Amino acid sequence: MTQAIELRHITKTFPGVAALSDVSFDVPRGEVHAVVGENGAGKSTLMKILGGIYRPDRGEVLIDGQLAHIRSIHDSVAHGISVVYQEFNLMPELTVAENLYAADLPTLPWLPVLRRRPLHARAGALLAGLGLDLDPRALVKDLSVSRRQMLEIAKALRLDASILIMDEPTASLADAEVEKLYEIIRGLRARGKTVLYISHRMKEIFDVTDRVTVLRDGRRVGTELTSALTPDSVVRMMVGREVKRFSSEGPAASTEEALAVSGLTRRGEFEDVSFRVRKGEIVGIAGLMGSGREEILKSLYGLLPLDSGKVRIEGREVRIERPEDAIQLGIGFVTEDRKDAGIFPLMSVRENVSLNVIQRIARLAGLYVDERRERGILAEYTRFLNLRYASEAQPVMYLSGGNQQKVLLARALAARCKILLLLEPTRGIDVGAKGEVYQLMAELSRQGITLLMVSSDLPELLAVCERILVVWQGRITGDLVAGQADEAAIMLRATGTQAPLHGDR
Amino acid sequence: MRGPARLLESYFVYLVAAVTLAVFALLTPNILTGANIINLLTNAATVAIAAAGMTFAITAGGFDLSIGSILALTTCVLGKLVPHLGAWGAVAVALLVGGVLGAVNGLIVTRLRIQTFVATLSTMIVYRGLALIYTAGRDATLYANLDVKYFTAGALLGVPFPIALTLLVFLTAYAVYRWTPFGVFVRGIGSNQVAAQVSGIPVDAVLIGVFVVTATTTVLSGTLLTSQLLTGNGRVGLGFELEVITATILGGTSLSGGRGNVWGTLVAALLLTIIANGLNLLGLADPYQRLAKGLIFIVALALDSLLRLLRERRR
Amino acid sequence: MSRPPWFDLRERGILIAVALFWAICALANPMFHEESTYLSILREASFVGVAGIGMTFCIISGDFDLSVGSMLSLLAIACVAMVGHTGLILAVVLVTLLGAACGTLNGALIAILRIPAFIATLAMYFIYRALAYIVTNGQPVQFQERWFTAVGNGNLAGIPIPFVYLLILTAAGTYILRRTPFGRQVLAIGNSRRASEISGIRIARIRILIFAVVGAFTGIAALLISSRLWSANSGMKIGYEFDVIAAVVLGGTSLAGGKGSVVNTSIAAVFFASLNTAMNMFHVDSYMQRVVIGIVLLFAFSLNGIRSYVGERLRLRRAARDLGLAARRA
Repeated sequence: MTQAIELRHITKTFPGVAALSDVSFDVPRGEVHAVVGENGAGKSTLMKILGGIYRPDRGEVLIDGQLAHIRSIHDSVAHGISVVYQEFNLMPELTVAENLYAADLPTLPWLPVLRRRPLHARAGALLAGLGLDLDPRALVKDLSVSRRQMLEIAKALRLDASILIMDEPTASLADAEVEKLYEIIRGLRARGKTVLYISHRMKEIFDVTDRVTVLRDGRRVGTELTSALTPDSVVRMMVGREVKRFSSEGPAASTEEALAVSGLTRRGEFEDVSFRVRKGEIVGIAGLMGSGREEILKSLYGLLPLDSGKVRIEGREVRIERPEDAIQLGIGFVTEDRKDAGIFPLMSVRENVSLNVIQRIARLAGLYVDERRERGILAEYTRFLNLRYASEAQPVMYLSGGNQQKVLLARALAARCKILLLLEPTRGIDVGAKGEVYQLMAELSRQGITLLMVSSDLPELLAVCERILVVWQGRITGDLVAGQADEAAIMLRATGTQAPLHGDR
Repeated sequence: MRGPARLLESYFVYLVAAVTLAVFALLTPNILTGANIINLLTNAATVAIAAAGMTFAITAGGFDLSIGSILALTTCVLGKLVPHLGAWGAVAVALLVGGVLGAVNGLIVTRLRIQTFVATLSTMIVYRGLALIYTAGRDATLYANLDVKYFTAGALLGVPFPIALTLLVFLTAYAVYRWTPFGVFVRGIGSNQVAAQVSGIPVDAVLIGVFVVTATTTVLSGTLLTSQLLTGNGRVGLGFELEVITATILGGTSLSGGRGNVWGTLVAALLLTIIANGLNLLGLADPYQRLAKGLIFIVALALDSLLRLLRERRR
Repeated sequence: MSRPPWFDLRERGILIAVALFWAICALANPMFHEESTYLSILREASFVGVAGIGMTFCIISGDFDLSVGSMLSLLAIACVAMVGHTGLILAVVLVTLLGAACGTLNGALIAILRIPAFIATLAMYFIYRALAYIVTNGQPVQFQERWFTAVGNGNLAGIPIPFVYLLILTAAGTYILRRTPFGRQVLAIGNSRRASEISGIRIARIRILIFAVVGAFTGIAALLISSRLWSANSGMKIGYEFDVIAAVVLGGTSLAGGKGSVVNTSIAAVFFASLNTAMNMFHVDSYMQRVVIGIVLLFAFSLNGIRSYVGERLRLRRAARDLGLAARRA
């Protein structure tokens, strides 16, 4: 059986960084092969080499047993390789069919007149062949995020590739759609196509892949059959050290009530949400995407208006209508979407951290920003959070994802918040940095700060939180004590069913 | 609620135009006489034709601020060459010159990687300079030449030439927009330029094409203008680009790109002319027209904004 | 490296351009050895530079204002009406407030009614000038107060008065941008609206304030210019907004917003004035001058553009071309 892909001693160095060193492994035809590793392990470099964007400094790539000189995307495609990247490259004002066939629109012979019927027919056939439920005539801007992801996949498959490389394909998909993706992948496998699947998510790797290659620091650590591995063993290979199941050192919460909400309602998002949180507690909020869990958090911060309900902070009833109110009341918010909604990319690290309190620390009736005080604040949180940056004047966009997240955390903490709301705080951060974030959260809890965390990562919630609230269709369906619950218990309540769920591990 | 709301957005300008016309009709019944309507359509032609081209530019996500200068240059070229080459010959040369200038705009944007706003801001200055140099700052008058008057006074198949030309231009523009790959490319680039590039659309070539289109339609406008003024002058058309952009946007072409409204542009150009015409008939002078233009722009957009806000709140 | 940004030469390219330009002119023309030449340049630069300070704030926050030229004509006419009754200092205060009022109107259209800045200021471009015409009946209006011409035409301790204004206002503008919470908020909004919202910044309020600032600085520019001309009319300074925006962009502030420098805008204004003066001194045909300015602008913008885009775009272009070829084969 020929190998679809053979990598021999692939090495690629960038100035100062050895992205890949002597990586060799094989992928047989018709296999779904996962490539796993922390951020910076070299997965995306490897992908770009196969995709024709980079050329290796040393080593060879063989496709179907033949030496392949992939010097451009053109070459890559010519060898039957197609890559689906994480960022969408779609044109919203055009239709699905137009996006698929933009470079190849059918026209009348000799005249530049568009023929829409053959265009839609061709698109329809392609989509049907892939089992995708997309209307060729629909405008992309009307499609949901998951449908757009499907379109991206269709675009990659249109080129009749024999090798498909997917980078974090489920990042924007809801659970039902992830199932659909699995179907497509299994269908591809049945047709003899080879799939390279790059992901962080253990569940998917164990759901749909045949073999796993783990990269660490640019080197291949191991390639094993998925069936011979466990999530823990994979993580151990990724990180290279024993990963303790993180657990907080006993309840740090006092009996004082920090936050109490009752009857929170926002039409179409959530209804009659009530719960109480004690000072210093770490409470998780779990639920499927679209269950309303994020919206609850956002409304506590004033980003979404409430239709009705009461909020009490330390016993006093308050109204939170905009983020400014929340900040005044000592509530901080750390968002998941750093790039678009969190950092000020062109501004310095120092300026990013001090922004929430800029008015507070200004002297002379708020007309003079004392940079020394700013630096003091930055220094304090650099120590506390172990922030790494080249210089305090460095624009934040140059920091790593983990450090950017810490900057957001620092900004919220600098405002001396007593309640910290976190939305997917460790999304996109590698395993090593995640551990640091968990330690920080425990430390904050010990200092009496109350934390409310929304996360899709159930093991994370179970490890870090003392209590987990579960949301389903806008209502609280569960209030579990973390030490006595497991993922199944959470999922039961998150789906509002009693049936046992697949994916239990 | 989405269906009717979206419909409202596209046809909003028609509504505004109809209302405005009705208001003026009540104030000055004269406005609806046959002669006046022909007058209206003829006056609208200059802005309308250039706006047809600008629709492509804005749909592609850019602007062409240099068209005022190209307009002036056209009148100068015609002013100087009609006596030698005759009306049609001179127009041919003007079209050629316009095409070249448009291509230059496109090359500056694609090769030098400068944003369209800033690039055409610069060429606006250069082209006007060229126009003034060409005529040494003086007028190039055409009293004796009757050929040129055809463009204003003549008729094509019984329809006054300016109106016929406008219709031809808009029919062509719509056809290209809706039924050619070029139209799809323009909308794609305006939606997401990076995606367009990665999808294999020849972005650079299309952008150059777009600027050639705006320049060419402007040359046609300039021809009509020259025929009315019977002179070529390097100082005409100051602020023309902003009027044309106003018509295009009022007509429903989205500033963010990807969504153009060709017929809307025509209606908007007519609307602007109706205002001018109506106010003229009411005896109000030029500044009031500019005032009214600005006010209608704001009121129309404010209404549009409010509608959008209401829609969002209901969701 | 924590060197204060003033000394970072990479951010002061425009300063080097001015210095180089002056050096070349000095070599080529003895007039550039005279103090009076430089003073005249500084004077001319101030008329655009003053408004440029306000516009810098606007562009940093991600907006821009196309109506400043029209606003200027209206405010200049207001100066003519006021100066005789109020004297200089009060006139400065009043015209600034009036300008701020106009700016607030712009800001309200944009931040409250959510009309895009381009369109709203485009509409006001027509409206302000029309108002100016109506108020003056299309006729130029003349100052009666002879002393007033000194403001635009005179010197203070050997320095042209308009330039004194420019210096003071540039310093004030820089301070506001870098050392006040307001300035930080302007930068934040230009960097990321969403993140600004989360940080509790009242975005609508700040945007309106920014446009008020643009109006205020335009008002002072109007005072200076009308003093220089000793008159005002509704047709004055058509195209002024483009001069101002060009100075801001030339100074290195990107139209995309998020970062910028008031000092650089002022230096860019000086550059333009130098260019104009030099061309006059070299007896360049006045029409040719326009061509030269346009080409210089293109050159300058392309440098900016090349610096930001070249790596990214070239790679994408190559990639796209390859993909396009491959797709056609499929």
